[in-house]
Amino acid sequence: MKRTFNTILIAMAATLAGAQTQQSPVKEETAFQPQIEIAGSGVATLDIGREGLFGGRGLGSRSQINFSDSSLSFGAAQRLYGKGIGSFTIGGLTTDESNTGRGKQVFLHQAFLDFQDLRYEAYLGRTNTPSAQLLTFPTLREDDLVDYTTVANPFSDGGNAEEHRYSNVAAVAINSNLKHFVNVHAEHQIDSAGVSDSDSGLNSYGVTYQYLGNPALTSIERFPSYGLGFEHRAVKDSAGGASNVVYAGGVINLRPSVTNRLDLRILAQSSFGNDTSALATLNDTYRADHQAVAVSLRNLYSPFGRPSSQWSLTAGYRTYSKVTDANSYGVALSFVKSLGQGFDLVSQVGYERRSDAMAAAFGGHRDAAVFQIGLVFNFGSTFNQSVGPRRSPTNLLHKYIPN
Amino acid sequence: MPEYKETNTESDKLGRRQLLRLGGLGLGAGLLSRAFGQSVPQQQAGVDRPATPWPAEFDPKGSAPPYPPRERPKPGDKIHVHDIEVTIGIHEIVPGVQTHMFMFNKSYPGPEIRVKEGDWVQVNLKNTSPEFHTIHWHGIMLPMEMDGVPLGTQWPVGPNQEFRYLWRAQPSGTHFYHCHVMTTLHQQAGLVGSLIVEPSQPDVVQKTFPYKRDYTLILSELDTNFVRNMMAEMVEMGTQMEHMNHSPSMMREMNGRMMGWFKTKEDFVKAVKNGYIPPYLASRTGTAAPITPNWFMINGKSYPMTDPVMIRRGENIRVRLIGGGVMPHFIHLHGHDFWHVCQDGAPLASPVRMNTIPIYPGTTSDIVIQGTNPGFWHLHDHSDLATTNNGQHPGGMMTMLMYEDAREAGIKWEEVIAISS
Repeated sequence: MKRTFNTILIAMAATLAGAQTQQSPVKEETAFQPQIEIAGSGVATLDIGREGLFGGRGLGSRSQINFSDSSLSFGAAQRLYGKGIGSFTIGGLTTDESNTGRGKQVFLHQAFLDFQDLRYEAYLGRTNTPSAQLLTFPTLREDDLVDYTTVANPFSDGGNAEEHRYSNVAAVAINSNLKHFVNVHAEHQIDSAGVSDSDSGLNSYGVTYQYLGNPALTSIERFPSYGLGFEHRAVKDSAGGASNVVYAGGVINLRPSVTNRLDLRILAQSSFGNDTSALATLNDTYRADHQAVAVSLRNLYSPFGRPSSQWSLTAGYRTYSKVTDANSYGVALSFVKSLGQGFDLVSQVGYERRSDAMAAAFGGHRDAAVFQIGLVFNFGSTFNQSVGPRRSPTNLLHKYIPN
Repeated sequence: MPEYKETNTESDKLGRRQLLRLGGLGLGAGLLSRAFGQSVPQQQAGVDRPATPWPAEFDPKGSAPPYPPRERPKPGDKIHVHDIEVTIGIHEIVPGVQTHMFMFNKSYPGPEIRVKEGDWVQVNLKNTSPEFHTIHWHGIMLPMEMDGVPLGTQWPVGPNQEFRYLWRAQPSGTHFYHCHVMTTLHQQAGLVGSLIVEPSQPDVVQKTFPYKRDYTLILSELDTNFVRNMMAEMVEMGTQMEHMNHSPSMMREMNGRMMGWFKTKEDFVKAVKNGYIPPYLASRTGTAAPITPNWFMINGKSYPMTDPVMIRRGENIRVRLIGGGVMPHFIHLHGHDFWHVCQDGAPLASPVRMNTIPIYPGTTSDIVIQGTNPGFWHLHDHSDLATTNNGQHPGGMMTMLMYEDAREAGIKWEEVIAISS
C-alpha cells in the first residue's frame, strides 16, 4: 500500500514538472549548485587480547578483525540571501561487533541541519552530543576508554558506545569573535535503557562554554582550547532520579611547537543527584553518581610542519560516590605513523581494570587488555566549493565574510 | 633544419600569403606581425626573409635603457616618494560578493603611480600583513636589487618590515607593478597596480592623436576558492611565524625544520631524505583543483560595476590595457575600429587598426579610440567565458564606451532603453 502511494506521488510530481515546463519554457530562477562535501574515515584493526572488553565495547560477540568507527558523511551547504550559511549533514559509522545487540552494524551519527552566521549558530537533528564536543582524545578510536573520555549517557544500556557521543540535539550557540562559544541546548539522548523521565522526548538540557583559539596557533598557544559545561538529565525516579553532571577540560601545550609538539589533555567530570547505589548493569554504571578524570599526553612530530608520527598515553580513572568500592581505571598507549596524506599505520595497547563492585556490571570481567594494529584512512572532498570555513585564520584576523 | 629550408621556396611563400589573406588565423598572424613588427621578422630570419629591409631609422640599440640603471640620484634630482602599505582587507567585486584580498594602500588595484621618464621614484613599502611581500616593477629598467624578486634579488619583506625601493623611471610607457611573492596567489589576490611613465620627449601618441583624457584598465581574474584557501594557508603560516618570532627556541625551529626553503639543491635533496615532503607530492595548500577563475574584472570590478569609458564626438582618448592576471583577454570594441599605438610601453613602428586586441598576461597595450560613432558601445573581452560573473552572463570583463554628447548627436537613449526593455 505504501509503495503504491509513493508511486502515485512520484507520478504526480513528474506530471506537474512536465506541465510547468510546457507553460513556462523560461525558468524563473537559475538552478543553484550547493557545495557538496564528502568525508570519511576508514578504520580497521587486528585486535589481539584477553576478553576484549576494552573501552566502549559491549557484551556481545567479538571479532578480532575490528572495523568499528569507520564513517562516511555527506554534507551540502550554501550561502543564504543574507550573510548566513545553511547546511545539511548526514552520515553513518560502523559500530563494534560487540555493540550490535540490536542487529545494526551501522549507526546514524549525523543527520542535522545547521544555520550559522558570524555570531549565531543553530542546529537541529542527530549530531555530536554537546558535552562530547569539548575535547577529543588521541586514542585509536574515539570510543576507546569512553567511560573516562566522554560524559556518559545515563540512558544508555551499553549496547552501543556511540550512544554516549551522539544524540538528537536542538542547540543555539552564540560566540564572541569566533573564539568564545556558549552553547545552550536541549537533547534527546538515546534512551536504550528505558530510564528517561520525559514525555516530550527531550530528556537532557545543558549549557557549555568553550574557548577555541586561532586555528593557526593550535600548536603554539599554551592553552589552545578549554571549556566547561553543565547537563541536567531527567532520569526517572525508579532509576535513581535526575542525574546532573558538571565537566571541564582543555588542552595544554607543554612544549608548543609546529614540528615537535607535546600537549596534555584533561577532562574531569562529576555527576550528582542520582540515587543508584549498586552496579548490576552497564546502564547503572552510566547514571550512578560518579567522578571521572581522563588525562592524555601526546607527542606529535611534524617535520616541516607536516604530521609524520604521533604517540600518546591516555589514562582514565572513575569512582562512584554512592557505591562502595566501585572504581575502574584504564590506560592506552597509542602510536600513529603517517604513510601518506591521511593514510596512517596505527597501533595501540590498552588495559582496563575494574573493582569487584564494578565488574559485576561487566559480566564479572575485572580486567581487559588488547593489542591493536591496523590502518586508518581519513579523506574528504569538496565539490562546487563556495563556502569557506567559518573559523579560518583569515576570518578570525581580518573580518568575517561568509564565503 | 635543412629539409625545411629546402622547401622554403618562393612558390611556397606565395601559397602561404594566399592563405594569410583567406584565413582568419592568418589574419591574426598578419596583425601580430605588424604589431610586433620589430621582433617577428627577426625570429623568422632564417625561415622567411622580409621582402624589404627594415626602415633606415630602425635602431637595434633602441631597447637599451635611456639612463644607466645603476646610477644613483644626484643632488637636485627630482624624487617622487610614494608610501605603499600592504594589508589584508575585504574587496567587493559586485554587490554581495566579497573576498579577502591583499591590498596596496587598502585598495584593489593599488594606487596608480604616474611619473615622468627620467624622474626618480622612491617607494617605501610597509608590510602590515602576516605574509611576505615584494614589489616587482614590471617593465622598468632598474638595478637588479630593486627588481623585487624574493630570494632572487632581495629578501622578501616580512610582516611589520619595511623596504625602500629607489629607481629611475624608464622607459616611458604603460607598465605596472605587482607583488612577486607567490605571484599566483599574491597578484591574483590583489597586489597589482598601474605604473605610467610619461615620456620626457614629446609623446608620439599625443602628437599623432591629440588627446586630453586617458584611461587605465587593468584586466585580471579571480578564483575565489583558490584565493580563499591559499590566503587562509598563508595567513596561518604567517601568524605562526609572527608568534614564533617571540621565542628563541621557536625561531631556531623556524630556521630549518619548518619551512621548505633551501640554499642549495643538496640541502633540498637531503631534506627530502630526512622526511621533507615537497608541496608537489602532497598539497599543503588546501586546494584540490587547478585554478579556475570565476570572476573577471576591470580595475577590480566586474560588470555591471565596472566604470564606463567616456568620450565625446571628435575626441581621441587613450586607453591603456594591462594584462594583470593569468589569462589572455581579447578586448573588443563595438561600432569602432581603434588604433593600437603602443605595446609593453613602447610605441609601435606604425599604429595598427583593429577592433579586437589580445592582451596577454604581463603585457600592456595602448590603444586610441576616436569619437566617430556616437552612442553607447560595449567594450569587453570577446572570450566570452570572461563576460560572466560566477558563470552567469552578462558580467565579468565588460564595460561601455559612452558618448557624453550622445543626446546632442540625436541619440535619445531613454527611447533606446524603453524599446529594449
